[in-house]
Amino acid sequence: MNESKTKLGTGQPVIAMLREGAKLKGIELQQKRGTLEVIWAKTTENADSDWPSFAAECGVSTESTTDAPAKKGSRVVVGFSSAGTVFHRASMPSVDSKELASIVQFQAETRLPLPADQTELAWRVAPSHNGQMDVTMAVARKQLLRRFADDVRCLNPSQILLDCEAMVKAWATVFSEPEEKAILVSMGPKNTQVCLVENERLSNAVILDSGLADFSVSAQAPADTTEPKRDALLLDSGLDGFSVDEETQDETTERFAQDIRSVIDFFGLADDTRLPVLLLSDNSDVYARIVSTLKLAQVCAREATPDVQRLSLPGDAGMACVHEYRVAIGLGLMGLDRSEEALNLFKNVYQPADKAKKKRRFFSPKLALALASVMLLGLLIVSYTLDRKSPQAIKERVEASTAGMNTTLDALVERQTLIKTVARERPDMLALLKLVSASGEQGIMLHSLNFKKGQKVTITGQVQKDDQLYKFHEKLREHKDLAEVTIMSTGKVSGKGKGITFTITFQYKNFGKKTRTAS
Amino acid sequence: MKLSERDIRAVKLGVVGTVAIVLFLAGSDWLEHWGQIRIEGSVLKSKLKTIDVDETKQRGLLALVPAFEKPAGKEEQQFLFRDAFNKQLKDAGIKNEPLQIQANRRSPLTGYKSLHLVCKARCKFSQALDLLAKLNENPYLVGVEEFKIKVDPKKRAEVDLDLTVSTLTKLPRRGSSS
Repeated sequence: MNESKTKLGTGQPVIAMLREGAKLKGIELQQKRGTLEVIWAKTTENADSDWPSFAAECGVSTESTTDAPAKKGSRVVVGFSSAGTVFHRASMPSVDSKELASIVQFQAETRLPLPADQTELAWRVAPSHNGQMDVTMAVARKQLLRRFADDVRCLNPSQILLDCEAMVKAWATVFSEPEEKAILVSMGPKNTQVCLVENERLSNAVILDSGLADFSVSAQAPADTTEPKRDALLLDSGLDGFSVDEETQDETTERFAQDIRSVIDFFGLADDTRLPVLLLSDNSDVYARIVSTLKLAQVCAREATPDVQRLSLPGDAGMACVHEYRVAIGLGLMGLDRSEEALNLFKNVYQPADKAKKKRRFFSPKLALALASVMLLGLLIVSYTLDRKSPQAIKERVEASTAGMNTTLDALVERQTLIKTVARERPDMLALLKLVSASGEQGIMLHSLNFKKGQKVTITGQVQKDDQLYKFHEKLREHKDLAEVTIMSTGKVSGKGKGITFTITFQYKNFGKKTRTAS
Repeated sequence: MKLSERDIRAVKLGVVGTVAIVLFLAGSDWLEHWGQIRIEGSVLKSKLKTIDVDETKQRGLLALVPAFEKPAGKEEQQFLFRDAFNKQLKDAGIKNEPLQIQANRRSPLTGYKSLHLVCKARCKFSQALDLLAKLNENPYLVGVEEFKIKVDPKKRAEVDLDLTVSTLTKLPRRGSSS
């Protein structure tokens, strides 16, 4: 591993990490009193370098994804290479956000070579003009995103951002000469990123498979890649260990110029001859040559170099260092400025652990216990208040409803109790007489009826035949207010008359039973 | 002075214990107070339940007790009841023997005594029915204690009537002069 690390200070920094080719790069950035400060920068060159070991070198904890992600107070932002991402830009009518979402989805699906369920889509709308909105879409294979998210999950990054967006952010913040509309060209060792930028935001992007390495004909691998570099902050333009052959260089640069023209055509800006093409440069000769070639190819190209005054750099680090770490710096800047509306391809693929933890907090036993305690306390207070207030409310309501009646609640209760008692104690004698009379058919003569509270009712009378008596008895038995109807005695009528005398007893309602009385 | 972890734990326990004791003392008084409020509330609610009778039940009660006056003291109630009952007998055309008064009998309600009037009469059966039909209109009547009706075998339109009706008399409050 070829590495170097410079510590400058502490605060509330952001650690930005990304893979560029075989290298892993990291930088710690913080904003202090309006100044952007690079605390340290670090790079590896080994092809077998993995995220956990590099994270450990950078002091980022990888033990538990639920714990603090890095050193205390640090947040981690990881860059995702846009090499596997397809960008598309479309003009759409100005419609509401829901309708726009479905239009964008449809547009993306029609242009994708893959089914929609295998891809992730992120999009962003530029401010509308003339009733049209420019929408930038980024699409990547879901499987690729998941694999990357699994690789970097151990770092518990708070954001995973597209490296081309980070590059645009770095250019807008650190590099000189801001332009309203421009094409940025950022060259890596083996590829070149070409981005269309409008109002300092990425609008479209393309990756060319030619890089700085292609500008050398006698490319030779460095003698020993494992030997530490002198200072990672001072070098690594991507050409280390390569020598340049001037004879073939012209051919390469011409091909490169053609590629750039093709990209401008692809962006639909071929007619815009004044569109600046800015080559992010560290002010070295190779970039100057490329710009010259591009100019010869009628491209309005120029170099864009970092303004080192805008950053506080460690030690003797300078323009080359800022250029080398431009994407990492951009990632850090995006991490610091969270209000930035980034194209988030990982929205459905990756959730930072702190967010997941926040969600889990809602299910924590402590929170449940606290909520239950608060609810119990609330219940007690409400119950107490109700118990305290309701008697008074009842009294007031009764007083209001009995206003002018010159009575009280107690008097009303006493009266109602008395009426109920009287109703319970009052047998309806007229009803009893009617009942007995209606039960007997013609030919039955009643002699007497004897009712006394606490005793059975006794009736005496005379019938002509036994049948009449039994029918009379049966009818009395059927009546719901009578019970225990019994023929106590029968006898023949004395003297000349014919007939049978009888005595019947029965219970009338509850009046025949002994009742408890107050003394 | 730096406190050891054990000291801190002891201080914490002490604070928790103190708070618990204060809460317990304050809470006991509060709970007792709350209990009294609840009892008061439940008594009031039961009273309200007594007077808040369903409309159908209230109609049934009014059919049985269409007129009612709160019982007065023994003398006053005896006079009022006897007067009203005599008037009902007279209205029914029943000539009765002098009414017998049976005072200070047990009543179904605490704080009251029962007073009975015994009426013996010979009248027509229709007159007896008239009396029974109008009996509920007596606002002092509590109930019929005894009712005997016996048909004269020779004159079947006439009956011997023994009727005992009752009223309530309010007991004088303890300590009052009446």
